[in-house]
Amino acid sequence: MKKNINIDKEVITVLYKKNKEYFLPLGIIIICVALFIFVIIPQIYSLFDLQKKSKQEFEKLNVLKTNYTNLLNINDATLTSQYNVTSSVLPVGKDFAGILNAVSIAASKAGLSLGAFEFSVGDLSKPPTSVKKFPILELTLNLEGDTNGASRFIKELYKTAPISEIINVKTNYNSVNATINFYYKAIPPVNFNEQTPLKMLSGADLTVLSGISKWANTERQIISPSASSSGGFNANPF
Amino acid sequence: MNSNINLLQQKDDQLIKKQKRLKILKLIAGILLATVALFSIIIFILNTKFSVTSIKNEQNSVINSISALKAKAAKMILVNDRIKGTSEILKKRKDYTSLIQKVLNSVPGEAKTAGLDINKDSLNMSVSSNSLLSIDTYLENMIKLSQEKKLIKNLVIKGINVNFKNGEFILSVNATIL
Repeated sequence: MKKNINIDKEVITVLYKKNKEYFLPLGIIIICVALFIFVIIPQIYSLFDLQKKSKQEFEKLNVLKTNYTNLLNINDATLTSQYNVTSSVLPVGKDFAGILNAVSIAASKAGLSLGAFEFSVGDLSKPPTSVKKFPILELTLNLEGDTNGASRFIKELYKTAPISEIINVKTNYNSVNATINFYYKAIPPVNFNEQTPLKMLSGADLTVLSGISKWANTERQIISPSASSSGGFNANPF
Repeated sequence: MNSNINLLQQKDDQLIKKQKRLKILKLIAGILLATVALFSIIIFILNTKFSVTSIKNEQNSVINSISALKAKAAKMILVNDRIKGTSEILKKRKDYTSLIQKVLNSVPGEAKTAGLDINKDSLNMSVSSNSLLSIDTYLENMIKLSQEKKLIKNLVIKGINVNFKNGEFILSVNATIL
């Protein structure tokens, strides 16, 4: 048999009066649980995200501080001198004057006399950046001397700026014919981002730098590529 | 009438139970309230501690200081670029000086180098002498050099010519450069 429960206003009032002491602690418990589930737990999760973000930002700050300290500690005069040396060894454009200097220095040190020479310049309309990684200027030259002299010439040329590579050497009794590639490299786009670690010179880099600093023909004035025939790009990044 | 029925005592028991229940509920509510408050305080403190704003402000200040040194940075990047390029070329370029010295040393005193042609891959050399013995010595030296497989390999005699006018023998060899 189904029993009819009649909940009227009077019953509710009686029940309320009987249990009203429970309402406050129960309400507090419900609110606290709700706060814990809907506020505290999401806040704890967001705290982890915040910690991660804070760590990332702190790392960025450390990179910035390291970059700043490194830049502050670099001696400007030393850096300029390093730039001049490295740019004489690997010029930013077709350094005809540097090449002729190098050839005559090497020939004179090797005890050979310089004869006719011929440059293979290539397409002047193409800017160096669009050619290849290391564009070259090919020079074919004749020298008066023997095979020993040719060997001395190569030795000297390999210690003279701008950097070169012998492609072919032909000697015939008292004449030497050499084909030499002189390398150059256009200035890359300098996009310094403060937030990426600035690469300082490593031990290996310093060894190379110290080696090339002793080369001949590095003390000359750096030729601005905008003045050379290599195309219209601004060589001065500063 | 049943005198065992004690309604008052039962009422007291119920009241005690109710009070006990209420006490437990109040205690739980208090603990929960304290926990929520404690967590809120901890979260607030940690939020302040991990605040990104202060780090961002410091970053901006360092960036401002760095902007004054941008020219130096650009120069540094270029020096690195030049050194990297130079190192790459130095690593790949062939140095023929030791090879030339070695092949010249293999030419005996009575013979002389008539011609030498060196390129990236091969070496062509002609040696002239009035004596076949010195030509033979040169050839032996070149074979030794080729067998060492340090500088050259695959030595091939291209030809031997005789100049009847001056009685000179000219030996031409070819080798692959290593």
